[in-house]
Amino acid sequence: MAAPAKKPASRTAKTPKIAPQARALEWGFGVVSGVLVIALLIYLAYQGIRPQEPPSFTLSVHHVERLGDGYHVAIAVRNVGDSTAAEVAVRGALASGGDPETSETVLDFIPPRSTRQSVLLFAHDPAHGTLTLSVRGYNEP
Amino acid sequence: MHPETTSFFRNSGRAVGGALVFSLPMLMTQEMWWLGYTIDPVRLALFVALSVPMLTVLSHYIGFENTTCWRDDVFDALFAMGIGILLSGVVLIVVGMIKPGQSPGASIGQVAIQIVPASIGAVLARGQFGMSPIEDRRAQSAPYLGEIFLMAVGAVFLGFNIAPTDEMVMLSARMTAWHAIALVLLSLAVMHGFVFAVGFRGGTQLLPEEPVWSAFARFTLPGYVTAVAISLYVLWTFGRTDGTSFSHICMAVVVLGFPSSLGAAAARLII
Repeated sequence: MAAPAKKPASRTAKTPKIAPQARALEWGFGVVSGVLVIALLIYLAYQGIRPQEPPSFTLSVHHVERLGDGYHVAIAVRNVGDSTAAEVAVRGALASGGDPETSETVLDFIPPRSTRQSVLLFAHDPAHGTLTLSVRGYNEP
Repeated sequence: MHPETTSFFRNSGRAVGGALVFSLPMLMTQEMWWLGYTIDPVRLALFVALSVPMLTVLSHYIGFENTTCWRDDVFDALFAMGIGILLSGVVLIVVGMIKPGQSPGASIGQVAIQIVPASIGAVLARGQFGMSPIEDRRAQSAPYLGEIFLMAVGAVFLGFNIAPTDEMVMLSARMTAWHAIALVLLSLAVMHGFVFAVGFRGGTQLLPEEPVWSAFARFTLPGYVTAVAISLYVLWTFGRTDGTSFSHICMAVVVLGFPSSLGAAAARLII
């Protein structure tokens, strides 16, 4: 079966359909691609052996906007862990004198070391009170 | 009727048929409708603008008409896009996705996002359903960069089908880095199978006596990297990379790279 592979050494020489510079281009593409794929595999393996922290969160207020008769508080939730969190429930409590006003939202997916944004609505101006944000829970995807 | 008019209508009918076959799955996917509201208009405009040269070159390689000059190819590309816009608009109106009272910006986005798959279908249909015998097609004699280009189109098409779905997000969230490595190797193996299946057809630059690693280095590896690069670009267009860490983008690109590389490899078989 190996015979046809050896025999046509002369035939390959007879079919110079491809110019040498074209060959060089093809091999150049091949080598660069090979390096990229190996780099990707090494990076993934490094991610695989690194210890994986469970999801944990940092919360921050992005901006506050007055729209209609309420205040829209855009928040950024950052997952500082190494695994994805699903259905992340975020609660905001706004204390301004009387009973605190609460508002909740759920974020679909927050990949590791990534930030997703959401909006909490309040009737009172968060500028005139203390806004506390907390994550109430999440699911494993 | 004038024979030229008849042929124009027949051609257009073919293009509409191809556009429907290629874009209907996406016209009936809810993530594609919501993307009309959320996609960054600048990225969408760039994507549509880039599809003009892409369709032009595609039409050059496989177009139904034996186009001899680039002007014809550009016309073919724009014609296919026109068909895509018209068809997506009609279908989305008929199924009630676009209706009066909806913001015009979102409706334009919903149609624009469908242009690319529909117009790829329209260009392909004029080649595939056409009467020209297979041997006449220029794809057979595509140069090396042409082959890479055709792979890129295949990757755009299949990657575009899958990138907007929530399943993409779910998979990359559930997979570990070891799963991703296995998926890279599986993608390469499947691609290489395709490279071999098509490789020895007349006209391509693979010779039967070439060793396996030569074909692997010259076609499979560049094809896979092309598919991964296209995946990254499509994910960025859909805003899936925003606020996301490098490691997770890698995961998402590997997940989307699987269908994209399959599309890239199959493109050489189909086109």
